Amino acid sequence: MARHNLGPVSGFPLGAARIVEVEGRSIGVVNTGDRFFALRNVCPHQGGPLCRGRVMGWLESERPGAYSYTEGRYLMECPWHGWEFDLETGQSWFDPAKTRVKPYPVTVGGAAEPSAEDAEPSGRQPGPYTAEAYAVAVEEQYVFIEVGR
Amino acid sequence: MSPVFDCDVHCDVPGLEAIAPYLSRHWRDRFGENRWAGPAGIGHVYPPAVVSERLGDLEAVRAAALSGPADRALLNCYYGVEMIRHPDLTAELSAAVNSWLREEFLAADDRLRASLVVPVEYPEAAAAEIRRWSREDGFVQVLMPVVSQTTYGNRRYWPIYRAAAERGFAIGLHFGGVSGAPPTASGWPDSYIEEVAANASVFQGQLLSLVAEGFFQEFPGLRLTLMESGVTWLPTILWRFDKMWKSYRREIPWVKRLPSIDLRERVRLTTQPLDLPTDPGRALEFLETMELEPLLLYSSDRPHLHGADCEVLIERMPAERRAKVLYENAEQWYGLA
Repeated sequence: MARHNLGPVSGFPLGAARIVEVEGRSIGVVNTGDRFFALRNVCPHQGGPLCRGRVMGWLESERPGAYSYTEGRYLMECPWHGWEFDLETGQSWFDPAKTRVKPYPVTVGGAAEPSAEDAEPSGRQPGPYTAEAYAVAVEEQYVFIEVGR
Repeated sequence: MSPVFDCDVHCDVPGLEAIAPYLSRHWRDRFGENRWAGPAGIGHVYPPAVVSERLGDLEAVRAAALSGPADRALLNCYYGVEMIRHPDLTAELSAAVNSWLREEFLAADDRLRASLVVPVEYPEAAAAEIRRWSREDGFVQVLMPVVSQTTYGNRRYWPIYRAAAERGFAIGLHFGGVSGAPPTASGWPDSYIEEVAANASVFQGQLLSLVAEGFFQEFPGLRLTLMESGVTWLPTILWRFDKMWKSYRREIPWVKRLPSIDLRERVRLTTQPLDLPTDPGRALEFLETMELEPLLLYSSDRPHLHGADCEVLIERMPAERRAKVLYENAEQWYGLA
């Protein structure tokens, strides 16, 4: 798994996916306000741009006329045919066992946490010259995604 | 001979005098004062040549429906009570017809069962009528004409379904009905042939409504029989409904699985008139491909004659499947055993 810095949290608007390209994959990253989710941006139905769809509440019903929502759970609705996928697991609503889309772990943290890609190549030694350094506080949080190779 | 249950035989109130003993003093007087002869019933719905005879008493029913091929039958009495807008009168007529059905037929011959006639557009009154009866009286179903004032999934009809579920009755939709709305989806037809040919689409609308509004969730034990609806349209509409459900289930979140699963468990269709190729081999192939035979209940629709296609087809079925269509499906469906 490679960890990628997708930039500051402020770059992810609430309630809709931002489409990012990571390792050649199109991925939708969703900021729901309380946490982040990421799904492969390809609907398993007919290959539609899944994450350009709407982020929907987790709607269930115990009986006709009753509507209930589960806090913190969301569905991504494909813009092509309305198929819904669990934002967390990628499982489809109507066929969770067989119809699913790949989810990716997303974390939020400080920028100081380096990703594997950002690490210095090994074997380099500190040189003799030192520039004057200033302390910089990073107040913004960044979004990281882990994508398997 | 294995048993044969005919799931759609039409007995017919021969006139107000037949049900007069079951009417209250007030309505007997009113009919006399107004010189009213009662609703037109089956004579209004069908052109005269369509109905071969009127089955107005036990003898006529026995001769027409129990003397082969069937040896037991379900009576559906279409009297047109929904044409009556007066809430007391439509309820009064329904109750009188049911009492007549009970006394004239059910109490006299245990090979007969019947559907209850109810004032369908006054659901509370209909529910009260349903609760007057039980399966021990020989009633197994509530008859609802397929054309209604609004689609039958609507909650205003739920008192009917609740009462039917309590009593263990099926709901049976049948050709007929007067609503004030056109009997085709596109508007008022000018001819009988248009109304009949468009009939399947009315059944389709009712079926979609019942699924979408949650009939199968709200009344988990309730069964739905479609009579005289034709059968070939069912697989295509199930396919379309399943497909649409994957997209739009949020509109009807109480429908939690493919609608076709519920419908295959909870819906049966009578065979006559059978809208299949006249070649029995091809017709059987269609039924098998679409897995329709488990849903079929044999019916003759007597005295409304359609020709022998249906009997010829059933005769060609392998014995085991034939027995199911002719009797076993109905036995299970209506709890005849």
